[in-house]
This record gives sequence, structure tokens and C-alpha cells, in this order.
Amino acid sequence: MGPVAAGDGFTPEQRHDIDRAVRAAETVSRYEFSVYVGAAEGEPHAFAQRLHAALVTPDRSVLVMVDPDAHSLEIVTGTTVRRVLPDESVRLAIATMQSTFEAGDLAGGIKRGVALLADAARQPELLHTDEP
Amino acid sequence: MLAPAFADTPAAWPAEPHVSGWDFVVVLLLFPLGVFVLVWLAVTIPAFRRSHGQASGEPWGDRREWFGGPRRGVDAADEVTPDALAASEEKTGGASGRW
Repeated sequence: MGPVAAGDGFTPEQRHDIDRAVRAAETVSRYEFSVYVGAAEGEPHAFAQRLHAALVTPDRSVLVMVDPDAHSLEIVTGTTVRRVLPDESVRLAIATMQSTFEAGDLAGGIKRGVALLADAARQPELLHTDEP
Repeated sequence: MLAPAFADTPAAWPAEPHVSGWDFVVVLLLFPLGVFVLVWLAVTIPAFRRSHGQASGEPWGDRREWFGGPRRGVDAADEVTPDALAASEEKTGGASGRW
């Protein structure tokens, strides 16, 4: 059997939607979001850690790594983000992304996952308690 | 006394060519219809051939897309030192999954 032809990749519209979802997540949460889609070099978790460490501000960053061919999904949260985005919330986002991916919607799953992570990382507004 | 004015075609003008019913149909109906069909095909065919995008069940191949990543892309990850990576792994959180 010959090699299987690769899919079409993201359309410009899908790319734009994912980019917009990333920007919206950053606006909502005030943290940095990054989405990598592609094959992992070596073990997926270790590769995701390397990608996360390569970001400009890893402590304040969330990295989502999706390997469509290996069907693996990794989310890494930085030290600072982790305080407001616990691993339980990350697992919920992963479950949502998994179900969307299983339905065949790669871009949609990424968008939903990023939005869920951003909502979970949204910091509550501080009340000005020092005012009378 | 008022009377309607009449004027015939000047004798110096060339004689009008005869236009048959078939010529009329070709010029006023078939030609515009042909142009319409050509424009419709020019708009429709690219839309049919346009990619429907990547589905999660299709092979991804060697592509790499990094939204919000460093300018240098994956090459930046190759420069992360083992010490920095080990220190980072101890403090980071997150989760893994498969589908």
C-alpha cells in the first residue's frame, strides 16, 4: 500500500479563526496562549515542554500542542498561569477538545479548547476595598 | 399652419444591412447568455475546488503550524538547554490526552 496523501491543512479561514481565538484568549485571561499543530519530535509530553520553554514568557504562557497524526494532545501551563488554571480545568478542556476532534473538527476543537482555558484562567476583578 | 415634419434617410448614407431573425437571436440572446455562463463558471469552479480544510481524521503530514509561537518557530525549541528544560518541567502544570 502506498503512502497516504496528507490532508489539506488549515484553510486561511480556519487559520484566521484559530489566530483570533488565541488573541481573544489572551485578552480575556491576560496570559499568553500558543497553539502548535504538527508532529511531535520524540515523546509528545517532552516535546510540548520544550516548546513551552521556548516561548518568550513561559511562566505566563499556556501551550497547546496537537499532533493530528499521532492523535495526541498536550497542554502545558506556566508557573504563574498554573495558580489560576489548575490541572483539573486543563483536563476538562482536553476532554472537550477530544470529543470535538473525534467528531472530525480539528480547528473547532482547538478553538473551543483555547476558549475554555481562557475562561478558566480568567482572573476575578479586584474590588477596590480601600475606598470608603 | 402646423404640420408634422418628415425626413427620409439621406441618400449619401450607406444602405442598412439586413438583420435576419437568427442574427437577432445570436447578438441579443445567445451572446449575453454565453458571457453569463462563462462568468458563472469562473466563479463557481474555484469555489468547488477550494479546500474544505483539515479534518482531524486526515493525515497531517510534515506541516507545522505554531500560532502565537516565537518568530523562529520550532528552531527556538532546539535551543532550550537541558537545565532550563528540567527546571521548567518541575514547575509547569497541564495535562495530556489522546483521541
